[in-house]
Amino acid sequence: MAANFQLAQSNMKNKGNANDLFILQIKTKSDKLINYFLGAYFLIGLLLAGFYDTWLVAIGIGSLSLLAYYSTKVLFPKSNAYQYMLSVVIGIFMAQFIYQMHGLFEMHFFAFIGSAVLITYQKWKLQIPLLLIVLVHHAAFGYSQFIGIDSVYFTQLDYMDLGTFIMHTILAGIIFFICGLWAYHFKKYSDILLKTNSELDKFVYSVSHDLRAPLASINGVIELAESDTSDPVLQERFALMKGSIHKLDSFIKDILDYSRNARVAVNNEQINFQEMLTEITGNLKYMEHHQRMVDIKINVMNELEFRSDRSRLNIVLNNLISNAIRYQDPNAENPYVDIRVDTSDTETSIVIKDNGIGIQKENQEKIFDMFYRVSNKTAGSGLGLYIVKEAVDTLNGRIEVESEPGKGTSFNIRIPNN
Amino acid sequence: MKKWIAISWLIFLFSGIATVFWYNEWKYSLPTPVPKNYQSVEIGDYINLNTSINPHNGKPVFVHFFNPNCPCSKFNIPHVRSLVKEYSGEVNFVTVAMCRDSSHTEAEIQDQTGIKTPVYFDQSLAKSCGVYSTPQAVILTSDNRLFYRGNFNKSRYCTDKKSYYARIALDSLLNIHTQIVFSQSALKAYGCQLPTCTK
Repeated sequence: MAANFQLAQSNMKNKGNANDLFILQIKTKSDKLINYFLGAYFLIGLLLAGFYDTWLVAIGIGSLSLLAYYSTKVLFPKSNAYQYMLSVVIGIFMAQFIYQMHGLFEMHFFAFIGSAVLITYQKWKLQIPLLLIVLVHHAAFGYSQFIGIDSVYFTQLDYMDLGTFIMHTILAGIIFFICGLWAYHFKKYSDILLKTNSELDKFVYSVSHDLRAPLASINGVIELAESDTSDPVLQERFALMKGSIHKLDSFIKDILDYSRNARVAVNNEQINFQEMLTEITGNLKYMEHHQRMVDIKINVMNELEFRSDRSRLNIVLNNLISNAIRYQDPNAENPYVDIRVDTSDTETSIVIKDNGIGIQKENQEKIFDMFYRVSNKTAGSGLGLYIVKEAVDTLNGRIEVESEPGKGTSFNIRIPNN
Repeated sequence: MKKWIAISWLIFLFSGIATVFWYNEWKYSLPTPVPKNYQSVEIGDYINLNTSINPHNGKPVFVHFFNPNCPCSKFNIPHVRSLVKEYSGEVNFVTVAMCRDSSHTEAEIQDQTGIKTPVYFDQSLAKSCGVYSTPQAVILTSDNRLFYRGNFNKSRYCTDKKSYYARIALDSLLNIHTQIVFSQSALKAYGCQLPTCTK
């Protein structure tokens, strides 16, 4: 009971982590795009400066705006204030462009461009600062000109009266409202998707987890029954049953690995490859005793410190090495698996090479697909390499395969050093 | 504490932005400084020109002082174009290109402005008419007397219909044949200094 409760708690925690990860991904991606957008905004200012010699405005206001955005980002690293500053800065850039082109109507479209750019953060509230800038400065300057303050020359229209002002505001407001609405909807759908996804993951995890216990007890009962008889026919049938149970169990283990990769946040710690590989290969040596022993060579080139997620690396190496052992070539004289690890300050390169049966060229692209199996006869769930790919992706790494049927296969993995 | 420093910093940046906008407005709102040895030419004076820009066909002459590098001159182009379109039957339009380097050709100026009037490069024309900024409009009667010298418009966008000074002057010359009195905002020269554009 206590154990179950703990498990549920850790599930909750992990679910939170996975959701946070997803939201963080949206944010990181958007931030990156915004860098490009702001760069483009600044360049547009420079381009427009050529028309009427507005270099001071382009460089002065452009760089002050960028400074305001990036300093907010640096000064309040944990808050979302910089996104609101972005909305303000987009408003200022719009004003700058309109000013540079001396009130050219077309430049007002930048209000709509800015409004659309802001959707990426999925926050309707980001539209508010932009709306306020449009509203307040039109109201303030338009009114000053309307009442005849001589130094204010704001609009080219000599009829920028209250009616026009209200019309403009309503139209701009509609755009901001629609963009805000989409942002709100995207956020809502993301939340629903996240919830469904995490429920599904949780379901997969609990079901797989709960399936293993009865399997283990069936296995135990068979072993008991096995010891009660010396009938060779029964013995053989028991062995078949155990084989199937083993297969089912390893399938469930694959699903658990998949679910763990999807749910659990990346936890970087120091990795000792020599130790890890010795343990994995030690466990795998006896995996399928009806086959020949495979010569496993481990070569860890240097002992630079490497940090990554231990459990995901374990899944990756375990799957690849067990595949190399399982698909050995019965005709090869000395089946081997050659594992080489080469670590640098930035990344580690892992090569797992065997002289097994190899993979046909046309199948090489598909081996990382979910539930893909080269033939129905092959043992395994069809999840192994899919999980490997998913885990490597989660670690921001890359995996490539080189293979020639009859000669062997080599998996090359690169994972960044964190 | 950190929060207040950050907020002050941002306020400082925004004041900077406001200042740049304001400075740019203010710079353009100033009248062009009068040159040191400026010799004023009064309305009604007879203008003695080195280059004959007056074809003496009984029509008045409208001189557009244009600097291809002056932003103010550039904003003004569409307005001048509309004047030429409307009055070319009754008035002789000419462009005087005020530029230091003489690499510009008549065709280049005509292409830039889209106005196919004769272009003169004689820089002394400005002095003769008492012009020391661009863009400026000068209207000479058919017998070379100065009828109007001043701005095209109060606003630098040339879109304020109430202050189409050059047009108002043209209308009064063509229709009422009487001199009307313009305010300082029409007659005090605004825009870029000569011969190069310094603002």
